[in-house]
Order: sequence, then structure tokens, then C-alpha cells
Amino acid sequence: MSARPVDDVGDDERLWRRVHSKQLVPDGQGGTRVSSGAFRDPEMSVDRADLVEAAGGDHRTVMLSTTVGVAEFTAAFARSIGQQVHARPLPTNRAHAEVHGPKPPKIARSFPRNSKFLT
Amino acid sequence: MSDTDSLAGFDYRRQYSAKMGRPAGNLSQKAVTAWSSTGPTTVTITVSGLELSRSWLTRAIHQLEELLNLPQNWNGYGELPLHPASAKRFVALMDAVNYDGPEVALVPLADGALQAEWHWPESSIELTVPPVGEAMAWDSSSDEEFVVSTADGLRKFREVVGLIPTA
Repeated sequence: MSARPVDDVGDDERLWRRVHSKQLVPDGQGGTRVSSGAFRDPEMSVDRADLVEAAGGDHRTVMLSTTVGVAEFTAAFARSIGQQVHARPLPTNRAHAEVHGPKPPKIARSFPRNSKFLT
Repeated sequence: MSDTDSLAGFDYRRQYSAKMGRPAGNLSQKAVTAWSSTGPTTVTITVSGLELSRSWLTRAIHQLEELLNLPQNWNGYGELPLHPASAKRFVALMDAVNYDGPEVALVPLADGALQAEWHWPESSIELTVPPVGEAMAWDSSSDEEFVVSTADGLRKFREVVGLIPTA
């Protein structure tokens, strides 16, 4: 089986989106939740987990000092809600990709509901 | 220190209060200091004297001060800092609907807008306030999104936030 081209984001690929400390909000039940505000950008940057891991990293590789965790969702999920997923490798980050599409509140809120939260 | 907010001269509170048919009343001001690469900036938030006494606003002002101090690219995805006009518009909207409910969670958006959120077990409300353009609210119970920054929208928003249960 040949390797998938780097510019082709497969449906089964996991995508990672950093969550900033200011994007965690009280859930009204004594806990916290990831705000839909973390997923409102029409051109939302993510990292492709397979490529980060192939380079020897893990989800912590993409975290910054202000990051409280990483939301992990699949390209298939993003596409199922009408988003487009495009590889957008950068000179400094080969794993960079973008999730394109309008993200009104209901769509934005579905991302954290369908994500694993990795810390 | 100087107020460098490009929209500082616009009186959001007067605009929204007029739409709600509320008198201008006595004004109070809260000065919030935001630091940037060019130094400190004062962001002046105007509220009614009545609103200033409310506990939710004390907490919200504290949150706004923290968010206004986030740098450019605050999450590493090229984010803009929270625009002072977003903060001012948010407080003016809440003032106009005479909000006196539970604390609100405030979240910065990547484009300089502000998102306010209320969550309880049965439902959620989200309010998105950009520095310019329409403020929008979303009520999860009806999955309805509507423009807030009009007279009808403000009345509807007042009804919606009036249903938020207190803890």
C-alpha cells in the first residue's frame, strides 16, 4: 500500500486544535467545557496528528505555554458538517492544515462535542 | 497613557439605550488598562450607575481586562487581540437590556470579536460581539440565531437572558 500524499488529508486522519486557557468556560454543572469560540474561525488551523507523530512528536508537541489541551477530531467529522479540510504545510510546520467553512454557533459547538480533549 | 481605541468616540451605551427606550441616566466609567508592544492603553468602558453595582459586571470587567491584555497571535494561529470596541459594545448591550443575572463567561475570538456564554444543564446562550457589524445571539434551546444590535433584537435578547436560571 502506498503512503498517502502529504497534501491529501484522509477522512480517517486525526486533527489537533490547540485550546487556550481563555477558551475553557464553566459548563453550568460544576465543570468546564471547551468554548465553541475555539472553533469559530472560517479558516481554522489544525495540525495533522499522523504527520506530527511520524516526526516523533505527540499532541504535546503542538502545545504552547498558554495551552490547556488539544481538541482531537477527525477530518471525516469536519467534512460531515460541511467543512472542507485542506493540507496547508508551512515552512516551519509540515503538519499544518486548515478546516474551511462558515462556523455559526451550532457548527462551532459541534467540534468540542465530537472531539477528544487531550492534555 | 492615551486612549487609542479608534472607536472610542462612539457612545454604544447611548445608542443601545435609546433603542430600548431607556433614559441615558447617570453614567459611570471603568478604566481598564491594556498593555501592548507600544505601552499601556486605557480602555474606558461606560455603564450606568445602576449596572456598575451588579456583581456580574465586576467579574466581567476583570475578565475583559485579562482578555484585552492578550497579545497578537495569542493562541499561535495568528489571532488578533481583543478589540476594545468589542468589549465596550458588549457592556453597552448588557447595560441596555438591564441585565442582572448570573456571571457570564467571556471568550476572545480570533478576529478581535468577543463571545459571551451562559451555560446551564438544559440550555446555552452565546452572544458574539464584533468591533463593527452586527452582534448576534444564539439560543441553543431553539437553535435560533438572531441579530441583537437592533431594537427588536435587543428586546428579544432581554427576554432570552431573562430566562437564565440563577445558581
